[in-house]
Amino acid sequence: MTSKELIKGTLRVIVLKLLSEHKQMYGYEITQLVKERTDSEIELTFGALYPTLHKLEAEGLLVTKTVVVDNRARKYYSLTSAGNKTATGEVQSYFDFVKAMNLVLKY
Amino acid sequence: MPLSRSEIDYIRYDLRTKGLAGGDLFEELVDHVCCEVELRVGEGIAFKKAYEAVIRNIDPAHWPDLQNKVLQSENYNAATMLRNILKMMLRNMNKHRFHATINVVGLSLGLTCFMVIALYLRHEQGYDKMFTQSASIYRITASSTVGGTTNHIPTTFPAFGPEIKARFNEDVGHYTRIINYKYSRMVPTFRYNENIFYEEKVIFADSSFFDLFDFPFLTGNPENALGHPNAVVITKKMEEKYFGSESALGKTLRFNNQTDLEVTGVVRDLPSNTHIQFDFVIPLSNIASSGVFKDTKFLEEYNNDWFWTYFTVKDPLKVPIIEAGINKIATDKLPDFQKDFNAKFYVQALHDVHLHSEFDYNTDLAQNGNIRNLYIFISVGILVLVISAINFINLTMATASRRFKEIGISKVLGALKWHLRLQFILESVVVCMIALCFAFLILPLMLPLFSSLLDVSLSLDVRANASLLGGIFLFTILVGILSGAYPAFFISSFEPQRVLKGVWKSGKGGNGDFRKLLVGAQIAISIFLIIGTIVIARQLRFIQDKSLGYDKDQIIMVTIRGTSVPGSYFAFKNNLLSESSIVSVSSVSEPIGREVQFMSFTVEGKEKTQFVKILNVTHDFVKTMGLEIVQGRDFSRDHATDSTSGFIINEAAARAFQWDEPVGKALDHAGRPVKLGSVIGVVKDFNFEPLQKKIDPIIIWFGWPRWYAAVRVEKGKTAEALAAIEREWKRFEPEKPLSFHFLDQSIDQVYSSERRLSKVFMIFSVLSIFTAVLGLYGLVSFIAEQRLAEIGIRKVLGASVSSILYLISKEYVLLVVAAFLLAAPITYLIVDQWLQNFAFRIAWSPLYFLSGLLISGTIVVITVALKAVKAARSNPVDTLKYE
Repeated sequence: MTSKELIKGTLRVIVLKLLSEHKQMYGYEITQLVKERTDSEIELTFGALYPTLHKLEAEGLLVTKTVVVDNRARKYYSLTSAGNKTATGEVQSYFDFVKAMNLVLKY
Repeated sequence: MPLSRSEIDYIRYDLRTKGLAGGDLFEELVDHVCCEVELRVGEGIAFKKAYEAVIRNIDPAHWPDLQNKVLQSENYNAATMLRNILKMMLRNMNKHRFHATINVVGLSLGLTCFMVIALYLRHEQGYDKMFTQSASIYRITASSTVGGTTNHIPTTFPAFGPEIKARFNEDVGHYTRIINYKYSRMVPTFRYNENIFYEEKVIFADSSFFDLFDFPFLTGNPENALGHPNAVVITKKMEEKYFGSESALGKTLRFNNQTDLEVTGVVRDLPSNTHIQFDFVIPLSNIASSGVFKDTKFLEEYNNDWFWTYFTVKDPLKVPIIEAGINKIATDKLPDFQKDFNAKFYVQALHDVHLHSEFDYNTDLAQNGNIRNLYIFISVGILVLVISAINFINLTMATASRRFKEIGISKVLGALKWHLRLQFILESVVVCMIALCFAFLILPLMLPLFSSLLDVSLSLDVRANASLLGGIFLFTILVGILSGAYPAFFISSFEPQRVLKGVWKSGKGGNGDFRKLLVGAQIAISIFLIIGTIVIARQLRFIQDKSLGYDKDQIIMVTIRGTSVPGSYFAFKNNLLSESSIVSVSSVSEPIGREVQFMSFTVEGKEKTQFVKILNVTHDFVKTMGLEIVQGRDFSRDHATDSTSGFIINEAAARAFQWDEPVGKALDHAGRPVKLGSVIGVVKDFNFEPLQKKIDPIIIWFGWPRWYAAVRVEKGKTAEALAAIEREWKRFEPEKPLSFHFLDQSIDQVYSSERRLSKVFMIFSVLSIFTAVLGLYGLVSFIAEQRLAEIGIRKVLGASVSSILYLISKEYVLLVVAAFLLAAPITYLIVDQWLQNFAFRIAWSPLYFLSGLLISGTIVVITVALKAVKAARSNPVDTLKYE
């Protein structure tokens, strides 16, 4: 399993990227999708995911919509237009970073 | 497969018991857990087991922590917080408009005053610093001690300049010698076509003048502006005065009606903070045109000490060596002079000239500043600022307790301690900033007022005063933080339930005492300023009204020096005397009321030559001035010897020479080979010098009319007398305009810096009292409001309005008395220092202190009563029903 520290640094990009692919998602859905894509390599914890989501919301990158599903409230997150732009930018800079890291580590 | 409602409720309940608080995030977590559980139930695991597995996996012990984290990340938004704080502040200010206004107005007044004073201080400190080389410019000054009196003068011999350059070529750069036209005690005229004026500020200087003092030239070349003898450099103001809109460069000014000077340069008008003040600079090589010297040979000699010598020194460490060198030159060249006058020479830095000079005879190029008055200005400015800062802190502290409920509620709703602290501090900082903005709005209105009052040009040049503005800014923030700190740290640390219950009591304990201390300090400062104002005003009044031993009113002093009037003085005088409006006319060598020169005399009964102050007069001096003869007689036309060997002395001289019977005692000018002179009369002591000086011995002797004609005018006929003088003047001096002054006015002018001090003191004491009253009123109204319930109960129990008034104002009266006891001795010490400047001064009277106490006491009591009466009159039904 990937170390917590690494996830912490990249969680923002993960959330932004997934939301940019989907119209809207809720917290559990995000953890599931990440788990699925990484073959359980990355498992997002509550303690990391929710603060990140709320922070992005406070920054104005996400908006939320609460819908009652199966007798309980479910909070959906989706990107604002500013969020969309940030998502593209941050994903790009993440790739740049990885490229740079490769150069450093594979030397 | 979705969970049933009861299963969800179970999860909800269980999570609550595990310590999670309800809210938005809680619902989100419930949903997440439900999804996880659903997943497992879908795989066929029983609900209970599935739930436990999920819980084990995500360990809810961390959840409260998580909630906190989310809350913080959501709330961590400086803009939102500031917006909230600002909103709360505006609401609060709006709710308590009265106190907010007092706060802002008081503080901005204090800040404005302080800035004005600080600008003035900068102006004074910036004296003579505008020259490129100003830090390395020095000048020679001299002192001589004769008969126990030491005199300092800033002028020395012209030959020093070339001599020090020759001896210290390595260390001394340029030198320039300056001589003020005033040395001739004449006022020269300049003429261009029809424009002819007397000019006061005319100097002669070496051609290197503009190398040292690089005043910016508007036209002309500073390099060779003083290159040829018939050149003159003028200021912009003079260009406009003589040439109007034309350019002056290359045009010719006729100087003293005999020499033509070509304008070779126009400099920008001089800043008010340089002591090198001039309107015209003429090359020293043309000194002959002043009419006193025939050629320039004397520039290499040691005959007269009327020259300022400025020079640049490359290495400041060499200054003591140069100083010793100058004294050595004097010993080499003038051994006798050095011995007779006990002369010493000093090197003074240009930067010290304005504030650290005390020269006799008013001999410097411009009136020097007085560092003592400057200190008084600064302290008064600081005091006013302190008063307003105290006001601010006091009111903020007092009114903060009104917000206990707000703080309690905020805390109950989960505000953190540091949120509240930040809120309070930010709030008071913002209010301070508003006050500062107001201060900057008021400042441009105050500056012209103070500029004319202090006789300088003050302006707020942002770039030049960046450090001052930065300092003011920081100070304002500091006041904000200080005044916000008390509520921030004191109130915010209370338990909410205590605060909400109102357990905290006002006016009791350390906080109330501290506030009283602050108010007491304000009152003490006000008392100081009130007493200071009274004493200074009384002293000025005293100076104005004091009998000077002569009658200064109704005397017109006509300047005749340098005109053709002295040649026909007696005809001029007789013509004037035929006028009914003119009582008497005499000539005199001094303008009277300013400092007087010495001469050496041989005195009967004294072995050594005596240096005594002198006045040269002609007949009728005693009558014209209204002096009183106590022994002997005035100069008389019946005694021909009076005009050659008669002397009149004052009582002080008789005492100094230890003569019991002065009349007939031998006395003569030390230079005269044959001693014939004797005393013919003694006049009662009169203040021929400013009242700062005690009355020195003086010898009045007969001298040809050359300087001034004193004309005593019949009361109420001044206009006619002036018309007659003008007419006679035209007859004897058709070329030059008449120049005269009224003696009482010119004596008044001597005290202009004292009058300035008095006005500033007055303005500031009014301002400080106003500020202090403002603060006191605010504070009392707050306290009365707080004690409304108490007052209500007292009234219900039968207290009268007057007893309640007494209750509220009692402690303030005590406070005034305590402040007075503190302020009175300090005031005495400081103001007495100032009074010591005067040889003739008022005696301290308990009345001054008493009036200080009464004025401040009355103001405080009225202020308190205004508010207290309202509180005392209030109907207990209204004030008590709330409880």
